[in-house]
Amino acid sequence: MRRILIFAFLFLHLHSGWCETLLVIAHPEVGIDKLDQQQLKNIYLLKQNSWPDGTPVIPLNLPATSKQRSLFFEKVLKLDMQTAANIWLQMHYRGRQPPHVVSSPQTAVTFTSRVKGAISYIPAGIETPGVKVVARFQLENNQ
Amino acid sequence: LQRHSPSGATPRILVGLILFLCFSAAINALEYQLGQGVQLGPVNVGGYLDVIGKGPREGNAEIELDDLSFFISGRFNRWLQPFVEVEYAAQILWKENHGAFSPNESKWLLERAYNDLSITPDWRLRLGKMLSPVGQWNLIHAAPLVMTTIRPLTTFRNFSIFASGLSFLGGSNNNLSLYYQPWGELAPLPRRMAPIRYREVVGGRYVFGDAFDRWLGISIQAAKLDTKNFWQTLFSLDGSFKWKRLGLEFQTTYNHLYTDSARFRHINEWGAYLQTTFSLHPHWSLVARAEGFRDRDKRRTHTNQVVGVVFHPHPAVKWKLEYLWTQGPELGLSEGVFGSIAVLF
Repeated sequence: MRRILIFAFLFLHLHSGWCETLLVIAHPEVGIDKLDQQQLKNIYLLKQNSWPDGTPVIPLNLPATSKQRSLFFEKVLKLDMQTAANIWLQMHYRGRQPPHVVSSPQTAVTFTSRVKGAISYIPAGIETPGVKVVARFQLENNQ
Repeated sequence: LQRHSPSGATPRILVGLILFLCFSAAINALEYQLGQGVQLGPVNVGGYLDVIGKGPREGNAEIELDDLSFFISGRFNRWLQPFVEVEYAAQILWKENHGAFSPNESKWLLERAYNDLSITPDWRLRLGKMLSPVGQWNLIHAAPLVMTTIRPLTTFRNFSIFASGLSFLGGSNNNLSLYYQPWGELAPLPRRMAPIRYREVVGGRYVFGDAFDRWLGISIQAAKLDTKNFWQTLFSLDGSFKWKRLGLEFQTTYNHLYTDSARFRHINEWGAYLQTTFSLHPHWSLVARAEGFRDRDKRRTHTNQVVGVVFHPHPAVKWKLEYLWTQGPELGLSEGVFGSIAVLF
């Protein structure tokens, strides 16, 4: 019976593909507790530049090779990375600062906790001292 | 003597070392991405380089440093978000029958200098010298961001491409901008680059769509000419549409001059271009464009066509090679082959 249960669990797990949770974290003093997908898209496409209290929004990106970055853009923001890169170049020329790239999720947490206005995305399971979670996305790949 | 003693120098060296380490740490914490500038805390330093090779059918071939531009932006708080762009323009590197670095009229220019104030998350007030929002090309005219070396006349000729004053920008989707220049242009371009100057400029632009892939923009600009003392009003419609590998973009302008018709050949001026791009490969594209422009001072309408190929190994880098044909009156464009390399850094 136990073997059957293990087999059934493995079968269901493999059949359902992978599942990953991304957290969107922000500096604790940003005047907002929850963000939806459209608000995040506006922030990462540099359309929204300030928080309600006027503090500049400072979006962070994980490295271009990071799996979480492609998940965040493709599954959460529904944008391909090439389009996003082209948009940032245009916005950079127009005087906006593209999302800062940090080397790891841990660096993202540290930066977000220290810099007022910062916002980032990280995989769930990483400790998040000094930041607040403003969105959570459970991403499934049903292949 | 004490000022030069080792005991006086050591603290300064230490402070310098600490500042250097902090500076290095700040740089190292954020990774550099080509085309997105170097981030130094709240300040971003970037720019672009454009080198052009010209092979006109008539006249000398030359290689020119068209633009070496630097821009600095800062985001300190809601009141202080400055932006400055300066560029070194038109330096001839080599000219047929003249050799390398022949004397010319290269110059440092102030392109933009303004400060943004965030009024609400959706609205900003901009004060200073900025690009006037007449068509997307004028707003994003950096060589690495456009597909041809030759800029269409419709995107810059005979209207104020800058505004020095104030502007409100924003809206629910960042799609509205209104601006007013109450006096002459701040640090105007030399007359040989911009023969007409404007004393007073007012205008606005509204964009339908996301302003990246599929959009339609409407612009209007009223401007008073500096020396001739009359107003002109320009209407512009521009847009872009992308479908799979095919891209289409256009701009059309209509400019009415409120003056005695005897002063010019036409008091109604117009321009229009249609450009198409086709992506052959993720890094290679073909581009073709046709344009017509009826200038206020010319009896006949000028037309030109461009066909070219673009190699873009990185979104911030473009190699371009194109051929330009022209017909009708001369409006500053020479028929021939043109190539360039442009890098946004």
